[in-house]
Amino acid sequence: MKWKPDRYGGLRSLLWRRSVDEDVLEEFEHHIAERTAANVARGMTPSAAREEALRRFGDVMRAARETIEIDESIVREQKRMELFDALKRELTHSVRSLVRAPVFTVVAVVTLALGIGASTAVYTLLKTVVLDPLRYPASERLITIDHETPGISAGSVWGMSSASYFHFKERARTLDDLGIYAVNQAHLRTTSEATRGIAVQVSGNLLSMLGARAVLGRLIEVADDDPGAPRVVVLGHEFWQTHFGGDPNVVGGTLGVNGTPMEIVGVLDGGFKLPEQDADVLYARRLHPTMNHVNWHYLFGIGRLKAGVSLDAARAELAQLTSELDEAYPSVYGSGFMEGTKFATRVRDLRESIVGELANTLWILLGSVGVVLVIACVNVANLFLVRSESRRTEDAIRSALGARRGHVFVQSVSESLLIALAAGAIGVWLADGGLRLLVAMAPSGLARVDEIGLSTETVFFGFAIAAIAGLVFALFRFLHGHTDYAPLREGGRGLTASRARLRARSVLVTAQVALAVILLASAGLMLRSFRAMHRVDLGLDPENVLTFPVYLPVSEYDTYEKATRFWRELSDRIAAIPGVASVGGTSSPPLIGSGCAIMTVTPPTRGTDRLDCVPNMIITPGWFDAMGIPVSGRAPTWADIDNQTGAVVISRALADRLWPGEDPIGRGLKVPTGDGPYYTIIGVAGDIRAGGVREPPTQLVYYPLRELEGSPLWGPVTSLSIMIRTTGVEPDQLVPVVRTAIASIDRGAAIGSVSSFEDIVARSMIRTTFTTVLLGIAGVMALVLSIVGMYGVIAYTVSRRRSEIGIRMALGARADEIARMFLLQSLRLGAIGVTIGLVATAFTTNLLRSLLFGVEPTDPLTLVAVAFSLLVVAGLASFIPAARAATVQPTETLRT
Amino acid sequence: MRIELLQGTLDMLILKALTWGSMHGYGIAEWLERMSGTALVVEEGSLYPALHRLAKRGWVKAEWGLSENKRRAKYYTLTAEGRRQLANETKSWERFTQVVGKVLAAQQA
Repeated sequence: MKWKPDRYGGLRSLLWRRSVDEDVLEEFEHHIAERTAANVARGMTPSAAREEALRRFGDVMRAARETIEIDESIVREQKRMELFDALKRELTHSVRSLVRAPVFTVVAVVTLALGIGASTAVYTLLKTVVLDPLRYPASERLITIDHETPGISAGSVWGMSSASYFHFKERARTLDDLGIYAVNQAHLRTTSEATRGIAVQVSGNLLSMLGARAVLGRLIEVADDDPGAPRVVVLGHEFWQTHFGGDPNVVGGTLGVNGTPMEIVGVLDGGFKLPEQDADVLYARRLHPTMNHVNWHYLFGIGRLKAGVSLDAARAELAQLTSELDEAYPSVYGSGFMEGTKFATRVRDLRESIVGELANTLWILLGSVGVVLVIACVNVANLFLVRSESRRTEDAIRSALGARRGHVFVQSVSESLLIALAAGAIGVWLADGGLRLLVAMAPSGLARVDEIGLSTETVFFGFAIAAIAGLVFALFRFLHGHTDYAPLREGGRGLTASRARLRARSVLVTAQVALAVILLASAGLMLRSFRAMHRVDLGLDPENVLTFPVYLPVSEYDTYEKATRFWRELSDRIAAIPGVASVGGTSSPPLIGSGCAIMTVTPPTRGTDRLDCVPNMIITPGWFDAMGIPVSGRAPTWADIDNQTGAVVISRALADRLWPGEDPIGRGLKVPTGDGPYYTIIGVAGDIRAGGVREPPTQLVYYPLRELEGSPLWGPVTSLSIMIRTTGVEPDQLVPVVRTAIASIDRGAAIGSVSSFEDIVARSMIRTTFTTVLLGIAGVMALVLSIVGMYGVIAYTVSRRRSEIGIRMALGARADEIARMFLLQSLRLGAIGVTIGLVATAFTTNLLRSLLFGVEPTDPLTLVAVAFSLLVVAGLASFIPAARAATVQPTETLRT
Repeated sequence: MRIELLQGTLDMLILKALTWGSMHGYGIAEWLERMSGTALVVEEGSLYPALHRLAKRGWVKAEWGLSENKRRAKYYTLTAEGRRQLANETKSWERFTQVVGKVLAAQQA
């Protein structure tokens, strides 16, 4: 028996293992037979002799069992050794041969790692944001409910009202449960400080429906909806940490919410979050069916379908109920309203409502990194081809010496896998870094951003791609590595084979160029959109503007006089700070204020009672200057507020709609309900795009801090976003001075997060920026990879054709002719790739349509630029090898 | 007098037997009997687990061959490593018996 594992030992031990039992028994049998024979020789009868032999042998079964056990352990160990040894041998061989070709190895690994990294990162993003279920119980049955009012403007969506909430809650049979919440910025006062926070008012059933838990105390419950119940508040986990230091005895304490003291009854679990909604404090909204319902659509509705009920069934039922809404609540919904607004109910899967259009963006990105991955693979496949070319002689020798095809295959598998797995590891590492970068880059533009990170599954995804790529390369090499003894012939060049290979490589490179065209065209279109967006005139000057919200305790600023005095004092003190050019405040800042409250106005000059929905903003004097918005006519002053002149400013867009071609100054404007007085238009402000660059100029009414007596009241203004325009000072340098100035008026005034208005503009375009950057990265990667690919093919061709070049030159070809020949070959490949790519681009960029801005998916400028640059790149890629070809000495090649 | 074998001593005796050359299991049993007379009681079946254990450790080598009676038999041969092992064991055995003998021979003073 040989104890050193040999190459074929694995197989033999398989056979041998079957005979372990027989082997042992045969050995025993021999022993007993010998002893019996000896006994017979001493004169015993055969049967007595055998009996004696067996007696002396002892317990045959036990001895056999023990011996067999030992032998089996020997076999096991030997097999393990053989396997380990074979693995080690293959790996050592592969590592050695990879180390011998460091450039090949590094380029292949890095190329693949980039592709794998990008794909893994984007897949992780897609999986977390789009594919993973939400972290709520029965999340697949959760829906959001809101109302569409296309009669007001296309795409206009309102929340639910208390009336529609109770209407659905009481009648809908397709729903298990229905809850609501409303979100406000609130002034909060702890025992030690005044601050502001996001206050979420919930219906008593909402938190339990979403499976929220308390880490301390209890949550808001159904009993808290009772108007007579004591006012209680639940703290958000982070708010509890930052403002109460995580005090475990916080329950039972008191928190002032907008000036109303509420008892703290619990702390929300840190792992829970309302759908895309942070909450610093939560308390009961206290709606009840018999309350005075008004046409105010500020509630987010979340429902749960009954088990087994489809979304469509719920849609159908709620649509039916919606049509009965005006009968059920005639005081809230007049039929004119229902028809005028084309009031409808929208029911969406909760996840869809969270992820929305983002899913498209992410699928597009996954598609593009997928393309990069394919290009990377093609490139590496190409490298393997080059390598197998250079190893043809080695392989042929091995074949000739009897190495089996299978063994050559195992070798190429282990080499390819080694490269692929190294690339997988680096790729996953890159993905991790990339994700951190992405998350940092998209602070507000990405849903579920706080859940994003590599998971076991996505790491597995990365390595799975790597493994598949590795196997494909191995197969690829194997298929091309058919036994070919040509290299062994004296001076054999195997021209036919290499021509086939060259064709394969040319196809690969052409595909690469085509894919690069698609990606670059997409990136180019996004870049054009990005620039177009930045060129759009928002109607205001975002530079050198500092902005932050200020919140006052509602119960302390309960009169117009108190509130107005505060805001005026604030304006005066800030204006006195050196470096401040102008200061003003607004109730809903452009690009942030989602809540342009809707009001109906009657243009009395036209005598129509047509219902119009006009966003409005409350502003303080000085705001137009601070924002850099020009006003023709005049802007209201503090005197207008003091004297209640009812002076308002409207935007140019509204003026053009209500009084086209006329001068609106001096005209009146009011809310149609009641017999209240008219506001007088004293100025027309330049158009701004308060909804972002994609929206048309906003039709706006700018109201004063104090409304006219007799018109519907919004009450004393207790929160405003302050804008400060600076001159000669960086805006953020003023922050401490401004804080001191505000605190000196009232230490109870809370200041929200401070930002520059330029940041706010940038944030409003985050989705375009995000997509542009990612597609740009993908595009540049594709470009670089195709340069490498192209260079590889030409360089390879040149090296294969050196002798031919030599002959041509010997026959009188000029160096520049030779160089041109290769340049043309490269350009031809490039041109074919570009053409294919352009055709494909026509289809693919259409997918981008929803992301594009101010540019068509078939924008000729972009396409021509991309095509041209790829051709230039093709030329450049072939430049060095072509130049090298031109220096070939005829004598050098003729000699060999 | 009949002596029960101590744990591990059988291994030593087998190795010693093989210093005479390759043997099969029966041969080793006979050799033991011949050398010790009837003093040693060895259950012959227990030779085999011991032999295979020695083979596993690499101290002996096993090969099928033909016995003098033209029967197929497994022959065991001492390896170089087995020879070293035997030398070591013999040395420590001698020290052991010497010490134990000295202790047992001690006279009351």
